[in-house]
Amino acid sequence: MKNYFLGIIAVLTAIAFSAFTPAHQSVKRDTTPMLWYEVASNGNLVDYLNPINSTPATRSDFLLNEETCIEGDEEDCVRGFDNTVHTPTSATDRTEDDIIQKD
Amino acid sequence: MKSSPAHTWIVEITAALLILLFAYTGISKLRDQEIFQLVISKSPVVAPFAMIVSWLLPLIELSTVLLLLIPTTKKIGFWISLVMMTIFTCYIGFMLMFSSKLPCSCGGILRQMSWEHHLIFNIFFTVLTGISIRLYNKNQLFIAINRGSRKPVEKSKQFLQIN
Repeated sequence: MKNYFLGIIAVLTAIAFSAFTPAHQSVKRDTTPMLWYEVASNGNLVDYLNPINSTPATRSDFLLNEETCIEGDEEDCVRGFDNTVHTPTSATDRTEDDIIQKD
Repeated sequence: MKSSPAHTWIVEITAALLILLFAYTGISKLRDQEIFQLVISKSPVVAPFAMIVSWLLPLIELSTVLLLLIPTTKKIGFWISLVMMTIFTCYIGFMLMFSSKLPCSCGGILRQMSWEHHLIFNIFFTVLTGISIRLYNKNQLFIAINRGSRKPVEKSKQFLQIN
């Protein structure tokens, strides 16, 4: 038993640390069908003609992680729209869209 | 190099630190498996295997914990730890040198560390594991020689250099 002592202490410490470390924000999901477009950090659609999914996908197909999609970041995000977008308008003006994940 | 209680303690403490590290990161990765998979899917190196790696890596880490915990499999645990820490260190070095995107795929509070800090942290653990394997082998050899002799070891000869 003496041989296991330090190891068991280490395992218990790891479990205790894990228990007190807040889990990453849980993934929000719903089943609203949407069309997904790549959006630049300034809010403009990168390519309004080609949604990432040619058929409407549900929001649950994507991981919703808003905290990683920071405004002003260099990386692009993906947004879901209820309908096909026909004009290259700024995505931030639209109300039905939803920031969904960093590209 | 002498085999001494101090060396045994270094080996045991290193094993405990590795157990703590792998158990904590393994549990954290499994708990946030979806996030972990998402993050490594953005890595240029492991993106094609993100799904497999996101499950396999924490399972290997937790298996290593078991190997390090059991005295008869401790040596294998040390070697797997050394291989894993070397791979992690090389991966971080590669990402720092060649990748513009640096997604952090580490578990729990280790996520708060910068990539440079991670590199130093990993190098420290890799070196510590390497030293412990060497000391562990010395200790094992010392015991084997004494068992082979079938004679009680004199106190004064216990700390003789065996190389």
